[in-house]
Amino acid sequence: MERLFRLAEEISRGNQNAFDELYALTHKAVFLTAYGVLKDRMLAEDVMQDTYFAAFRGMERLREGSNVTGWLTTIARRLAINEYHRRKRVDSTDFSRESGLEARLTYTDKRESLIAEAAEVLDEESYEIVMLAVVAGYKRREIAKMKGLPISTVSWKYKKGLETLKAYLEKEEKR
Amino acid sequence: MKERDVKKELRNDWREIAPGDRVKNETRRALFGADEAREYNMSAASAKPKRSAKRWAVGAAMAVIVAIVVTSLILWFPREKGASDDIGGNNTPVTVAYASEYGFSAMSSGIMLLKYDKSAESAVSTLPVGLLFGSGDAESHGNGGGSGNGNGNGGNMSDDEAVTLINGYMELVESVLAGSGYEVRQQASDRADYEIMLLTDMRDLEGRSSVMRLYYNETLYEADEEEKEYRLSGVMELNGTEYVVEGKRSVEPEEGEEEMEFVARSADGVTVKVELECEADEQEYEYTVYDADGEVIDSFSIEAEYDGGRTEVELLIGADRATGIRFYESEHQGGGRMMHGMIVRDGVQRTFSVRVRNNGGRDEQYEYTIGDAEIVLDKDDIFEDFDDMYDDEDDDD
Repeated sequence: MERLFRLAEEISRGNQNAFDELYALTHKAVFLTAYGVLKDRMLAEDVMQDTYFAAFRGMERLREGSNVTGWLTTIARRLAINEYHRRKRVDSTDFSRESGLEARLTYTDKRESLIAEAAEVLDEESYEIVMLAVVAGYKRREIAKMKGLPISTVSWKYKKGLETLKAYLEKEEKR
Repeated sequence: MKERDVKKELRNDWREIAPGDRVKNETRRALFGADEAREYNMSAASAKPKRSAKRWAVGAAMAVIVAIVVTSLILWFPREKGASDDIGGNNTPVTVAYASEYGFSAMSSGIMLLKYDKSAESAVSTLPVGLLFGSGDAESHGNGGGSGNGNGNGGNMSDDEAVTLINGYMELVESVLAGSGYEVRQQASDRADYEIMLLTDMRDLEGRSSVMRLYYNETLYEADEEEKEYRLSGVMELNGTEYVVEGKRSVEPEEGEEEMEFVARSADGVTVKVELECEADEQEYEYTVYDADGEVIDSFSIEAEYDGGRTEVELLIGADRATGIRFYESEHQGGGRMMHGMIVRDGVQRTFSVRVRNNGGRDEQYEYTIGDAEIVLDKDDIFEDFDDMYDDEDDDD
């Protein structure tokens, strides 16, 4: 955690190397957070870019000991939710266009990716915990610190999340 | 379905949707300005920026094949739950599960590093880069070599290409299927700064033997009521060259799960990362090879599953894991052993059989029979037909 904070400080001083390092350490968590809301790779990438940009423009809000990954994922979630609602508003008023957010989801990631389906099947917190552990490779204690939860809660939600996905996949296979 | 399958599917999906470098590069430009356009390439293993004008011309296919071949020698180690931390004295077979995985990871990554480290004494020759992907002429390699006996109907893969590709993994696979894995031995460390020394014999694809020595210290990094994490640092000696190694291992005793990451790096900056996940009767190793600029130059996975007395080894090759080889349990036949398998690439699958004849000592001769190419359409699992073909149990569903 401290390392990430130091990297963030270096970035604010214009250190590009530090940005590359911090990006490597955090981009999965940020992307998966955005993707869980938007279920679209391109939109999630856009939000990810906006997240880093917004984060480092607002660096002064970061304090020693801050959870940098948690801070970034919080920004990503808010931006993703904003983007989702913005697109829904735009799409709902455009009757001439068939493709809207829902239509994109139909034809792009939602039907093809378990990661996207997991965002539908699991509650938001369980989704994030499962993705951070399985895909992003964080340890449960790291996730607990990131989300401000007890380790036991993270472990329980992780196990339950995997069980739920397993049951979901088994049900889908039987169709 | 197992939880492991869910995790596997999630990770496979990640490969499909993972963001590219566009976001990183555009964000960097936005933060630091467009004229700061130098390329900072990261070694993903170390997360430190590397600047190098040198670009490696990579014999990835051969390196990978060799690595897997040698790697498999240690892949099959009976897992001993609750093994003691006392790992014995001089030249003693290692009884602790984790040390065998370290030894295995070190050896396999070392072979790959030999391919890329131009300054090292390399005992491994190279196949044409494009061999795995349908171009170039195939050559036979392996202890005793392999001979193909197919009908030439190769589809996207000639008989020779198929044989060469399969042959490159045969030692690995055979050790796993026969259950006669090579030993990782522990001896008193002859380096003052390292506590543990592991040795293992290995062979490259041309059958030349050497000894890999891994020196390391392992410390408990973090622990809670559910999980313990250890960190490793050390060096690996292979064929007269020394490589820096680092690693980490996390264990969840109650879940029976273990994860390990092992990274070996040459002086020229080429890095091999080995990731291991163990759960119950399954082991999966994932390899990623990075050049000196931090670019991924190859990746593949090896998975061994032991179920109901039957062993299967599955290799998936390439970043998209689109080329696969699956090996099924061997059986004794006519003075030798027979193995069956399937190789799949670009929607074309070919079955094969391998007769293994012992030439005395540790040398063996492999004789291959390659089946016709069959088109595989719209299969979620590239080995779907394989299971139907070789499942000799009654299907009660």
